[in-house]
Amino acid sequence: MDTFERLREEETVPVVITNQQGLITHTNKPFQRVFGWSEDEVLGKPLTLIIPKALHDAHHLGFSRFLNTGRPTLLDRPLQLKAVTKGGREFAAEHIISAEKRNGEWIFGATIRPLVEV
Amino acid sequence: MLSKEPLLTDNSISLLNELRTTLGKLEVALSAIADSIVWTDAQGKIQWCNEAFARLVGRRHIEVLGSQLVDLLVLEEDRASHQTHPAQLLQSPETDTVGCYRLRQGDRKFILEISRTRVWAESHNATFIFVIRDVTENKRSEAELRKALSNLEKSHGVLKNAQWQIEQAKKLELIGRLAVSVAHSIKNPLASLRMGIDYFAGGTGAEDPEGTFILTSMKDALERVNAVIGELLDFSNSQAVTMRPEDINSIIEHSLLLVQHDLKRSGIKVERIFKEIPPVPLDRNKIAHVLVNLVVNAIQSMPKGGTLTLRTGLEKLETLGGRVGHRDFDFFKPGETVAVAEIEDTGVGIPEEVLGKVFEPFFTTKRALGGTGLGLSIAASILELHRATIEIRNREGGGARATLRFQI
Repeated sequence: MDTFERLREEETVPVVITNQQGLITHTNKPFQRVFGWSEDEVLGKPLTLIIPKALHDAHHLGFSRFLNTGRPTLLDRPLQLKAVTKGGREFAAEHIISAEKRNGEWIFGATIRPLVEV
Repeated sequence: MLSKEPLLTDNSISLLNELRTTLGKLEVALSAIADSIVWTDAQGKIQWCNEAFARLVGRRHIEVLGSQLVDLLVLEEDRASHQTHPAQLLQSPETDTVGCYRLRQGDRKFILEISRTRVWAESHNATFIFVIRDVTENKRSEAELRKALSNLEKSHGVLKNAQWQIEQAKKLELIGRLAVSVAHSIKNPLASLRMGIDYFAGGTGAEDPEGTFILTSMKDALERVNAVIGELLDFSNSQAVTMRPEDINSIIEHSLLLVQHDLKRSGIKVERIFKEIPPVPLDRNKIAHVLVNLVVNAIQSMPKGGTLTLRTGLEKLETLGGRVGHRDFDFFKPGETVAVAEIEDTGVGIPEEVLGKVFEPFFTTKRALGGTGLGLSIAASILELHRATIEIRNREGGGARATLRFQI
């Protein structure tokens, strides 16, 4: 089973998957519970939906850099980053981000394990 | 679950890709430069930084985001200048600032030049861009250059002084050699003349008062010539000194004894204001020579009588100038205490226009009186050999004052 198959079957830790444009294509139940968004509400929305406003610039620059260079700097290792819920609450979470090329297009997936009660 | 329909139109995707390409290039470019670049929000919270900044603070790029710049970049406090961290006072009216700051990381010390620019991305919500340049090396080379320059200036001063000394020594040596040869070649003819005068003086008596008068004048003239020769020989001799700790007050007394007849003849009152002075290393005979010279000058300036004041004491040198300073050719350091001897007269004083020339060899205002113009120049060179100084000025109430200063 590859990384993305595992991500799609993850049932306890929140998972989000995006396409090359950074638009959300998949979330799981824990994600919906933690973030307060329903699947319908987030599908097709930009990933910045769950990133605090202060980090949008960094996200866009880093994401664009990776697409241009293919050089990963933060993939596949635990990162402590803030995430934001539908209600606008910011919380610390451990992110593990993965990327894979499918049919010439990148897809990105992340597990987001909250480090505090949400 | 993948969405069945495309989430964006082809147009949007191509526009997005184009913008992503631009952003990607920008990110690579900003991270390729050596200066650190940081964006913060209006509260100083880091929104983005380049690789150089992450390296500077020794953190991973992603971990830096969201932190306060003040916490991450801990600058050394500079109490002297009351410098505040550039990430503080973000609400101050100063939009753009540049300054140098100190940063210590373990044993390493850095000097950073940090410029801060306010960007009004949204009307009320400013963003700040900090560009941080490591100028440690520049500052170090600057300091080294400055030091090298000051060393150069110093050695230039030393060289100039050495050159001046060599010139003085050459002049002295030349005059000395000339003096000796002149003195020696004149001495014998003078002796013959003197013997001749003595011979004729013995032959003439009361019957020829005119002849006696002429012979006496001739004898006086000869005495003066002898005195000139004596001074010339002194001058050539003045370069070797024997230093011993001596009491200046007693040397002055001794010198006064040598001229007591002249003092009496001119009706000059002598006043002594002596303070106790520790022994000063000097050549007793040479300094006595200088003092006699100065006292004789004073006597000559008071043909109708007056007061000769001799004053000694200690003086703490406060003002720079003359030979007081830290230059290599200075004799005294500021703050140093020196022994002072002053010879004051109530005579005619020295015309201001010649005051600057009195130490020049062969300069005299008393050629008619048999002045050689060597007295003060010899005095000055003797004092120079003692690393002592002489200063001659007119007194406010008339007359002149010579001030000698010696190292204790």
